[in-house]
Amino acid sequence: MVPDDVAYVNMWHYIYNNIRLVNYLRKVKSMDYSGKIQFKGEGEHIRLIVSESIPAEFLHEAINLAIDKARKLVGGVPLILDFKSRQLVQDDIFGLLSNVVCKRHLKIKEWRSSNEGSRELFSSMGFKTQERGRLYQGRGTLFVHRSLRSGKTIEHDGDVIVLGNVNEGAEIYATGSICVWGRLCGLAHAGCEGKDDVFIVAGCFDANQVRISDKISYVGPDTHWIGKSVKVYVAQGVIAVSELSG
Amino acid sequence: MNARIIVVTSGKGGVGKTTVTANISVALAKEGYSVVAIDADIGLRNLDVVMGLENRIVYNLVDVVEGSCRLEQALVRDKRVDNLYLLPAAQTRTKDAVSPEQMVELCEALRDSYDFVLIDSPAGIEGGFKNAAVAADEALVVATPEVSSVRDADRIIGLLESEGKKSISLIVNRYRSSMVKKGNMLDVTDVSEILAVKLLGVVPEDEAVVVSTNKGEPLSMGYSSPAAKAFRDICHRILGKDIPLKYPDENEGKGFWEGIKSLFRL
Ligand SMILES: Nc1ncnc2c1ncn2[C@@H]1O[C@H](COP(=O)(O)OP(=O)(O)OP(=O)(O)O)[C@@H](O)[C@H]1O
Ligand SMILES: [Mg+2]
Repeated sequence: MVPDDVAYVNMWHYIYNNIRLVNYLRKVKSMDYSGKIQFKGEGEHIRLIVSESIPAEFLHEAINLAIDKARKLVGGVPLILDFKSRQLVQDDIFGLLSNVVCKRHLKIKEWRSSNEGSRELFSSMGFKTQERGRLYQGRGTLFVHRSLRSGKTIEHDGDVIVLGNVNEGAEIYATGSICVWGRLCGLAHAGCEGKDDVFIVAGCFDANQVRISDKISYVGPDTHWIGKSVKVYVAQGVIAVSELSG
Repeated sequence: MNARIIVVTSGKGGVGKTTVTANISVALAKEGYSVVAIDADIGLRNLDVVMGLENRIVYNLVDVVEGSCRLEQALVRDKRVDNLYLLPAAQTRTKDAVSPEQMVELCEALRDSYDFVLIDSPAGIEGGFKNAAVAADEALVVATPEVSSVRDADRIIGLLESEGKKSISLIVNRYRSSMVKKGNMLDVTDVSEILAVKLLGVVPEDEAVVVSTNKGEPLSMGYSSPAAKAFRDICHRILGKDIPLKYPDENEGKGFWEGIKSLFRL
């Protein structure tokens, strides 16, 4: 071999090794980042919390590695992808779709982010996302020991019991059921994160709209159970009402 | 002296805050108390016109706050009633010309020298309302018997409660018994049940209010129309007298024949 050829071969060797090195380093990095992804079981689904500290270019590799590690846990269960406050761009989502979601046939229940821009992007692309600025704190039953005046909003993960009235212009969002001892004139949304085996009970029903899960029912002023004690629930996929006797 | 500082507020615009402030101020002064009425509706002042004092304004609330004049210089004395003063708003400024701290300081400066300070607040729930309410110990919430007005009053009461105001009471204005009878207007019991605060009085719809507003002479100066009577009753209840509540009839005070005529129009 002439020296020139040796140099030529060495150069390729060098490049080849370097690419392997780069890939290797990338893999190590992704492994590192995949540790920054948390899984949280939340009843019927799993929430995958993706830390903001993972750079965008490592996003799908890190998620893939994390899912690999937790394959048994994740298999077949619907996922909520929670990107926290990260501002995603359209390319990130395309990358995630082709390299993670479609490749693995994942069932995504919801794309979540506390970042307004990301949420807008999700909904503009037609993905199911949570409503604006709704954050739930605490679980279990929340007792409200007074009437809710107009303009007051209560958001709660669990059931809500109001020992008073809910005036027009007040709103309650509960992931569970809602019980209003007094008069319900404002908005009550039970099962606001999708549960529909929940109910709304009102001592005196006087609202013009009720919501359970993703269903909305408009109530006309001459509906016969206006002013009565009622239970509102979902039966056969539609909102049903029954009067409470006694 | 330790003045009672009372804010008159509503949320919704045009329901009668300024009318109530002027009439209650005059009525209290006629009972012998010293009263300052403050117009906190900066930029859209009205109280001076309703009280008929617009020609005598030299300085205003913003001048006092900015130190351009002394507080006493800005107070416009009413010549018709003893011990009644108006602190007018600035028409050429906006609500941000005054801060809550400045309002507190100003009202505290009045507390030692007067019996009552009544503050007429702007409509809305923003800074202007906050400025008007911040220094007050008590609040009079004015609502008309309409759904939108009651809902806004409810919102305002919620805000006042969250600011720690202990004494909040309600005045229902522009009540029309004939419309209530026909079911076209909310009943006073409905309104006070929803708002769940003490009902201080019910003022009927009364043409005399409009006439007196245009003349710059509040009804409480000595008229005897149904609204004038209602304002006098409210004034007495503020002073702690136990006067039975009544839901006035807008036909009351009209002549016998007019009463009959409007009966037939029903
Ligand atoms: N009881 C009444 N009967 C008839 N007219 C009334 C009555 N009360 C108020 N009005 C009229 O309603 C109009 C609005 O009243 P006023 O200016 O007192 O309301 P406001 O709440 O101060 O309004 P803003 O929110 O604009 O300050 C006025 O023209 C007034 O004369
Ligand atoms: Mg006014």
